[in-house]
Amino acid sequence: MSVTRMLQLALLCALVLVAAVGCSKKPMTDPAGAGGGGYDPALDAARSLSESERVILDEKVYFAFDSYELNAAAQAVLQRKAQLIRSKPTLKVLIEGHCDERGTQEYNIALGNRRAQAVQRYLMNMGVPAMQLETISYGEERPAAMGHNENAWAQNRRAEFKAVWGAIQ
Amino acid sequence: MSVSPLSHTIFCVPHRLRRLAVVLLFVTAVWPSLGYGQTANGMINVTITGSGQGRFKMALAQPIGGDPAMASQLQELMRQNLAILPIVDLLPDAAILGGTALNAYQGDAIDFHRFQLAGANYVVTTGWPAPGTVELRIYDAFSRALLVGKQFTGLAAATLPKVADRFCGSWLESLHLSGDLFRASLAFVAAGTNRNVFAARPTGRDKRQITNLNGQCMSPAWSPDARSIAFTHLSNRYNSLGVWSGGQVRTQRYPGNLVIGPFYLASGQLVASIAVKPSPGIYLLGSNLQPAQTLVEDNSINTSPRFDRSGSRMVFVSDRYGSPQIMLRDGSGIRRLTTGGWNTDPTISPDGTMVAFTRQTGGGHRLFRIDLTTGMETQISFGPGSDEQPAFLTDSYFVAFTSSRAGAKQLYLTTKDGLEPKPLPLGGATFPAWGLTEAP
Repeated sequence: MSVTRMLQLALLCALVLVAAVGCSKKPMTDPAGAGGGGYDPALDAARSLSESERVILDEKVYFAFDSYELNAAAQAVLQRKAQLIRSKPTLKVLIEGHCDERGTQEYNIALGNRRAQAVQRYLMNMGVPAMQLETISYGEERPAAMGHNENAWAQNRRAEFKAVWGAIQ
Repeated sequence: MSVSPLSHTIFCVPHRLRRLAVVLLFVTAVWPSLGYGQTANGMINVTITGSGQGRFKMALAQPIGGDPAMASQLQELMRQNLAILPIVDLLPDAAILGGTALNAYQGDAIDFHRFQLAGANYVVTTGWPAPGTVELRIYDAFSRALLVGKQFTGLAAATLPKVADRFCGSWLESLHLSGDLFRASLAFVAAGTNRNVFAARPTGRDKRQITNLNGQCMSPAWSPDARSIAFTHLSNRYNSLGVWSGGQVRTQRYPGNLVIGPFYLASGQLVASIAVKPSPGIYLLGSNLQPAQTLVEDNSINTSPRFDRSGSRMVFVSDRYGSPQIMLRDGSGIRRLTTGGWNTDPTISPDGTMVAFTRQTGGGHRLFRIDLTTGMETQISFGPGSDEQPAFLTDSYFVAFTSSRAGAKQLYLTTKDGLEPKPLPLGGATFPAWGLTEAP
């Protein structure tokens, strides 16, 4: 067997291996779909987000101290999100309300909830179906920035957005 | 283990009258019970519950007699108990010129001069007259009067923590306080990646993990029988109510995905703040943990409900006036207790006479107290860092709270009057909640 022939065989084996690994991973990404009879390429395509769509989903919304008011910048962010979420009927979004450390922990859970709900209301007013949205408040428990200054506090008074592909309960 | 009083009378002496609110009652000593031959003295009854009091300086004399290991263990347990008391400055042995080793542990044979020179107000003596038997006494260092004396018999190493607790509790009772501090346990949330509920004696003894959950637990609360602990839990998607009982945790989610600050009434019923409507209201829960009765509900945030022992007075936080304020709900309706600033984390004393809470100041959060009879407001903590989450002990005197004054948040113990707090050796911790885990 010539060297060229051996290289062709090795390349073929590598391609087969890559294909096998790729196929075996697909169902793992979709446990909900697996229960319905196997991998559903259409559902997977509907759920996947492009890089630019991820950027839109990841954009945060910021708030003033002890406030849940959505300013112009926040509304602009939410309008882009509304368009994205409406275009992905199978996309479900968890809206997380967060606070800075200056409040106290129990009250901040309530305030974070207010922020998440304000965002949820705005998105629904922009035509996003309620079924595509969930809210949770983490209060001051999960800060984005460490520090005890206005810069850190301003980054922590926020709403974040996570794709939740499972059924909303 | 059995315990006998070495005195039937509480003997207290007015050594710090300049700062103490003192109730004087002369009584006659009774000292025949064990035949120790102590002579009767003119005694004075002191209450320590007045405001503005200072600390007692206390010295622990070295134990006399007994098994060295048990004697040493009890000495350490006594030291740990006294160290957490905001009303006590425990003098180091080195502060006593001549040392703390005595020739006798009772009566006039004790050399009180060395303790007087060190400024000690009280001296604790420990004698082991027979194997498994210990006698503990607290003397006034200046008058040499016996304040509290107790004999414990049938002891083993395992029972020594109870000896220390009961004796220290008796001393607090002699000061017209309650011994509840040494019968109680704190539930709290320990620092860590996953923040779980733990319980321990305030001295750090008997520390045990209650929950083992991913995420963050918050706001633990003991049931009145101290057999259950309710708390809230934050996971990556859900905020739920948890109830630990019999080693098992039961969780309950709510449609609004929001539950805050559960609290047990004396009846054993749970109250919590839940978002039944868009804004969280306060509800009495049924045995199925579902809202059964509305206590407070409007369009504002209403959270952090806490009750007095009778269940007739509830304090909570509401932002109905713009910023969060402390509110009182009783038989006459709902009224506002704080008028300005940012006020949260209320706790009402079990006797229903006082409310402590957290106020945001320029230097961080500080604890304040409102007298519900007079309406007078008093600052009871002064930082540095932030002082939060006050929790009245069942005696309505001691107050545990969370503070970042030493860096990471940990628990401290102060009094309703704001005596300089003592750190509780529980590690990084938040959300203190008292439960009486031992019967009187």
